[in-house]
Amino acid sequence: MPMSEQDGVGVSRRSVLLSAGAAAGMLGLGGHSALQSLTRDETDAAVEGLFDETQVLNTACAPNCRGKCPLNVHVRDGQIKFVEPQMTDDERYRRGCLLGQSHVQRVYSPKRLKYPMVRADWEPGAPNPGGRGEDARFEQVSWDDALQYVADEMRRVRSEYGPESVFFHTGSGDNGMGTTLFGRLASMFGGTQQSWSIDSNVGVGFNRITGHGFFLPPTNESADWVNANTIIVWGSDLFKSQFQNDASKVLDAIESGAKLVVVDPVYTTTASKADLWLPIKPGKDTHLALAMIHTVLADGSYDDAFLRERTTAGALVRDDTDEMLRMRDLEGDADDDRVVGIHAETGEPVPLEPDTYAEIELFGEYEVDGIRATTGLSLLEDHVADYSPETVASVADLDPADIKTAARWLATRGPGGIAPSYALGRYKYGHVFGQTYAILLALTGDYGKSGTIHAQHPAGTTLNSGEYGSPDGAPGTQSLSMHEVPAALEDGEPFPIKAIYGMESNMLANQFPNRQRWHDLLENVDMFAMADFHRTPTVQHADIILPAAHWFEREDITDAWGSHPHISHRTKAHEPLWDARDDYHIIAELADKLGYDDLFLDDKRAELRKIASNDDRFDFDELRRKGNVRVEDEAAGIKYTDPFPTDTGRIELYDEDHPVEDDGTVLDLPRPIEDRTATDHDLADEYPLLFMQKHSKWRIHSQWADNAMVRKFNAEPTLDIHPSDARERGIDDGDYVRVYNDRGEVVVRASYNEGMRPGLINIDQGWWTDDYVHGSHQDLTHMEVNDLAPTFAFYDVRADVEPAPETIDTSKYTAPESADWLEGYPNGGDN
Amino acid sequence: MTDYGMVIDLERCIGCNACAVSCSQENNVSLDKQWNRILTEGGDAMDTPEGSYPENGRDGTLSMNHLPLACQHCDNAPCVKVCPVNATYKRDDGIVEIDYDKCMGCRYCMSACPYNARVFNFDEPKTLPTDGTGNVEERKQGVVEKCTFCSHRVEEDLDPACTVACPADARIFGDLDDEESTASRYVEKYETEQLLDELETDPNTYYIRGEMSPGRTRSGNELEGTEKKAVGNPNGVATDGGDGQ
Ligand code: SF4
Ligand code: SF4
Ligand code: SF4
Repeated sequence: MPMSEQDGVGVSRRSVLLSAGAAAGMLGLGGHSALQSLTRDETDAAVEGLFDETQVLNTACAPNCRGKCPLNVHVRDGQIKFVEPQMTDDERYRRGCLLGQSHVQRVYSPKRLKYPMVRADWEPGAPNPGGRGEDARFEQVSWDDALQYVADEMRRVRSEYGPESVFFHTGSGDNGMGTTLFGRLASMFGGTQQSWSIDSNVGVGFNRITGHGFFLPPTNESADWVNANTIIVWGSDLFKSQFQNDASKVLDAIESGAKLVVVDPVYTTTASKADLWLPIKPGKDTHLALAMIHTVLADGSYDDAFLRERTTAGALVRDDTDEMLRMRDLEGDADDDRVVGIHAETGEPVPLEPDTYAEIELFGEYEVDGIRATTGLSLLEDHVADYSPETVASVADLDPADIKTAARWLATRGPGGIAPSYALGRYKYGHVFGQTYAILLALTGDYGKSGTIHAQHPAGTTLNSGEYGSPDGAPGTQSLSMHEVPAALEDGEPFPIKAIYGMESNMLANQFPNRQRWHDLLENVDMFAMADFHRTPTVQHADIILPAAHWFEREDITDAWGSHPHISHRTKAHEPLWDARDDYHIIAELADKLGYDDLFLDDKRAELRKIASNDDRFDFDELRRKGNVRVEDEAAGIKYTDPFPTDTGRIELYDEDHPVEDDGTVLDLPRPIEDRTATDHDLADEYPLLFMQKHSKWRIHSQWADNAMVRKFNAEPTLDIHPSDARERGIDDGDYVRVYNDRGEVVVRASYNEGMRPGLINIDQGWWTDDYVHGSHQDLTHMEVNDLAPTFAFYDVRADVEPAPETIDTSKYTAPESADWLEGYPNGGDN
Repeated sequence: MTDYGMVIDLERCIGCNACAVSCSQENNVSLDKQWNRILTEGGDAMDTPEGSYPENGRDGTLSMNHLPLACQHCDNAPCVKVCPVNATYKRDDGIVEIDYDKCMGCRYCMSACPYNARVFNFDEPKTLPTDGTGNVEERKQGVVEKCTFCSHRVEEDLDPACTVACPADARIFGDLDDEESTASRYVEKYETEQLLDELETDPNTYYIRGEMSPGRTRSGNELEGTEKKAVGNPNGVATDGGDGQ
């Protein structure tokens, strides 16, 4: 399509002059209607459908919310008009949320990138990194020039510093094949790729006990959730974020009699549906799980058959070494490292095999061959004596009877489980919670059955791409965890990073904690290229801007990790707008310029077919035809039916590795550790409020922040605050306030919310820096991580709030004519 | 006869706004207007509760619910009665619709409607893309508009956009004159409410409150009377992976 026509697709700025402030009011969500004076014009005809001129194509949404929703897109006159959920191969999984159905406004966003651009004051050899940031100006260049700059800099950096100094950065912006393709190039080049320091906290603790989990542990596919009898949603508003596409599954469970328990300091939409809401004090989750263990043991309501068959509850732990007694410690084979229990009838030590019932004692202290030892369950029972429901209730500000009720429902009503979100891992020591609830679910026997639940996202399915990512002769990549990137940038440790190519990510300048520090860190880089389809704050921070195609503008395959058991297909609904290009063609041309001309085929479909051929569960042509295919996946269905991948093949209640955290706490058994949530934390007096940034239904991370349909409902960032905290500080509902701490500040409008726990404040995550009248919520966050599962602790933050200074210019929201979030940037590709 | 109506289960509704957005997209509604609004029954701000936060874990009085609200397609519709030019009328199939050619923008109907279901195109409609969205023509400045039960879809034997969009299975659309329709069976079986029934507008929209109804994706739901509608487009989805575009 020629460019002029493309422009005709019509994203004129005039067209969207909509006042952000007025929009929300005009919707009358509170029930008011504003009568306005009358103007007359000629009118249109009555309702008539336009289906005859509309073509419907398959595609999929996959921004890492976990929905991975197959969608149908309606195209008319070469324009995308409407998006709705596609029927899935397995009908139980038809899904989609308001965001998936708002892609129309993403494709035609005024913030779409149109042309390749280079920062005006950047040139090879003279990067002038100080010129980056909000005021940077860009000049349009050809694709050839832009990619030549990138290739030349990559090669120069490789020869000066080594291949690992080129960082192939990806976020979680799109679950298509982009990352796979990019990984192939990175592997060929020998660059650095990033591993995760976000969300890998709770799962790591769970893994210490069960051998499963890094991100949240596996859980039964969502269609099975209806069989749960008790669902404890822990720290998650799952009806609002991440799980709402599967809401029907939890609702069906409730309708058929399940108890819904919600543990959350905030009265959320999910809490509003609960049979029991535990309004816990932030940071006390491990305490609560320990109190529930206490209850189950005190009641004797544990599942003793499960404990004997699938856990080390009855395995003896030596009093002298605090390690599990092994057959080799007795008169056995020196290689026999099976753990040992005491047979309940004979009193003899017997070896414990994976997944094999053994009639052993669960409690007690014994002497075997002169070695004194205690069962793991007795050690646990002793340990939780300090965490009675009464004690924990006073720490966590709960009622002890409610703690017991939650534990009893879980233990006595049949299969059920706990669905934590990633929020718990956004407190520094979230992994201890993972350890604790893994043990709790072992006591209640909630593994490996229909109706058991372990996380708020099911495993779904992953495309098997075989060796595609590591082609013959490729040197492979180095890996750096996100929290290790700062040292590489700043100190060159363990190696310097000097060039960055980023795609499907808005992390580096917007989403990572302590934003200002990342801006400083990036000054050490000579070349920063970003491929994206809209102008995020991270794109604005780059040297070279590569306009990518929206998902609907390219053919692709998406899988459904963390979600549902289908592979989906994306059809190209139209050519990429303006001069934008499919990431595939950007990467392929870059590969060409780097001298890897055979790495990718010219024809993307042929390349997709090649990738898909590694997965024998579906046929690519069938996938293209049907849009989505349910694949039979060993990973789907009921989880934890095989022996646990631990040394013993069992759930190991007692951790004989004695992991030690940075404060010296030994975690052979779960011990709560707190950072800033502790009431006696050093910063508690100066910054009495705990600050969190929950996920809302209006964005997936920072995606959709520029979406006109979404902004109609959620026009501007706000601070959720309990009226009592606000009044104490002289803040009225709707006032602009300054939220600040020792790192930074942000100015937003206060929004009274009776459902916020007093002492806890929230700004929804994902807002772009440009959406604030001043600062950013990531100016409040820090990068301190734990030792055992290092992850950014986005919610472990203290702050205080005061009325905003009069000098702050709030006109972008308060002056009715301006609607900054719908306007193009001054040099956003128009030039 | 056919009498289209909708059942909305407020126990299932999670206030996610998927239906609200889908409605606006499909019906080409201006970005500063909304036909289908998800009201929060609770605090002043959207998605906030009323009441007080518990102390020591107990005795809180917080409560919050969501109420999706659009035209109720009243049988005894005040809007129809007041329209001086008969632009607003009740169709034989129960849908209350507006003839935009006849509407002269007097807005009597807006004052008459007790549900605040109607919006007035005071300005030029604003959509992104500017050529409009969805599968119906844009209404011009100066007319009143509102939910049509997606009559253009219903005529093609599709469910309304909101019903397809709802991830909670909270919405059921169907023929209330047909006792065997799923919608009728739900109304029959569950305690339902017609909003502001004291005004005797007799809406065709029924809200379930109190006891949750089963979702339509659940297998073996004995209330299933109507076959599930196809999704997409009466002309079908391209099955050639888009090659035929
Ligand atoms: S944002 Fe997530 S839940 Fe919503 S439609 Fe897209 S993939 Fe589905
Ligand atoms: S809800 Fe309002 S607009 Fe709809 S039929 Fe009833 S009175 Fe008329
Ligand atoms: S889509 Fe369904 S659950 Fe969501 S707001 Fe609408 S009716 Fe409620």
